Amino acid sequence: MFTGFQLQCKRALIILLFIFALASATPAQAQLGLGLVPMRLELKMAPGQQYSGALKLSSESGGKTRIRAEVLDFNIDATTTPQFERDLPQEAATSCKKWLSLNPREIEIVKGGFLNVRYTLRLPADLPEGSYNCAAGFSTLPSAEAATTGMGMRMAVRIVAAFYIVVGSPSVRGMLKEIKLEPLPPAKDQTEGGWQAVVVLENQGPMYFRPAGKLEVLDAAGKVVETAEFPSLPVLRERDQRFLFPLKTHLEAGHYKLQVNVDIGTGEIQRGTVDVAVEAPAAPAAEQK
Amino acid sequence: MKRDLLLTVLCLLVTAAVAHAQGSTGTSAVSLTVTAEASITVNTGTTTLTSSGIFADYTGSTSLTYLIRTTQTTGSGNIVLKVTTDFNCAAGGPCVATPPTAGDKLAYTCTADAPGTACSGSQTASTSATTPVASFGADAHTNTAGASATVGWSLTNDPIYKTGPYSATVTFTISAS
Repeated sequence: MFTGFQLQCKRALIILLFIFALASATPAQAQLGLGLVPMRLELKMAPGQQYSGALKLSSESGGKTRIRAEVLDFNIDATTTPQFERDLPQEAATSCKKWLSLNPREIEIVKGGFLNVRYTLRLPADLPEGSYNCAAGFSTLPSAEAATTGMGMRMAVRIVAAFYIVVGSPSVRGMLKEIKLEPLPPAKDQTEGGWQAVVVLENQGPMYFRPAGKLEVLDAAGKVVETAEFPSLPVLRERDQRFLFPLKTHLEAGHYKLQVNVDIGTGEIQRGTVDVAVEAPAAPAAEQK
Repeated sequence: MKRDLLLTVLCLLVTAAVAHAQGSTGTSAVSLTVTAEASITVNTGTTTLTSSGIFADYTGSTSLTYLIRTTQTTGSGNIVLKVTTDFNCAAGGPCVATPPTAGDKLAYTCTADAPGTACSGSQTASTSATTPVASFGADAHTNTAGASATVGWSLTNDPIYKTGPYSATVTFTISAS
């Protein structure tokens, strides 16, 4: 026979076990995470060459995680946001996706575990000189239990390694094409928007490049009111790439100069200056010098 | 004479032993290459959106932890998101791809601890393109505990939505380009 105290203890234990079982059976609330090394590979290869290596994928999730590996196209869009997709038709001619294979493709990693994913690149024998880019993406797969009640969203994470393959010795060819000022919409809870300087670099050649340099905003007296470094974004081959510089300085109505000094990787500094007029609230008028 | 010879041999043996010992404690070069790497963790697998007033937008937030090391001079990295599975548009609820009413949207704002730079202003999530959450420049490093980022969601609460539960899937991507 149980005493009253023993019965209470037994009930408490059952409740605790029930709570523990419930918590274990609801992975919907568990964290989801992935780690990867290396994140970027830049390989110099010859036409017809095959190369293999490994990417170390780790799980940062709270439990066992199912992961899908896939090869991707990628580019950098006009807002400088990288777009990684299974198929970007406009990238077909310069993507290395079709030569990249991953093994395994379906992966399960325990909490805190890791796995080496083997990648192999097989280049065609008749590949012309130039740079080619693609990516390997690893995405968590949502579990069936991860449903929400009411209005909600399930989360998944993806981690991506970018591949840059250089065939031959293609030269970097490009130019500073445009400098302008664009209005920005007001931020939340603000009535007035800001400005961003936009610099367009044109890659005319078959080799990607990463520019280095700076943009300066000068007031009518020639005083530098703001300076911003170029981010180290790639300008992929044969395209225009916008670089955005949201200005921290509040520009009063008046005349300004946008001055750019940039090296696209040739060692030569390209310079450009544009006069802009800020006529609040109208959009600025720009004239190329 | 014998004693001298014995001492000489003993001395040679000791010298050889010392020389051998010195040889076995030689130096060895250790090298490694530190590469760019990253991890991303969504701290909760689901985010519930709630409305705090009559037809007030549904809101909620998702927190992330990231660790990153970008290359010294040519590195850059990004965290972006995309709606990879839309709400059940056919059921008459919210829909990201084709909103039932013009102006309906799933919007979000971002915060990001250093070294990340959070997305600016209000962004609109999409099913067709990734949109920014945070970006990193060259030579960016978090500490071993990682850095935090949050996404604050706001979904239009349109009276036209049919009642019922609705769920979408959002995928966060971390990359180095």
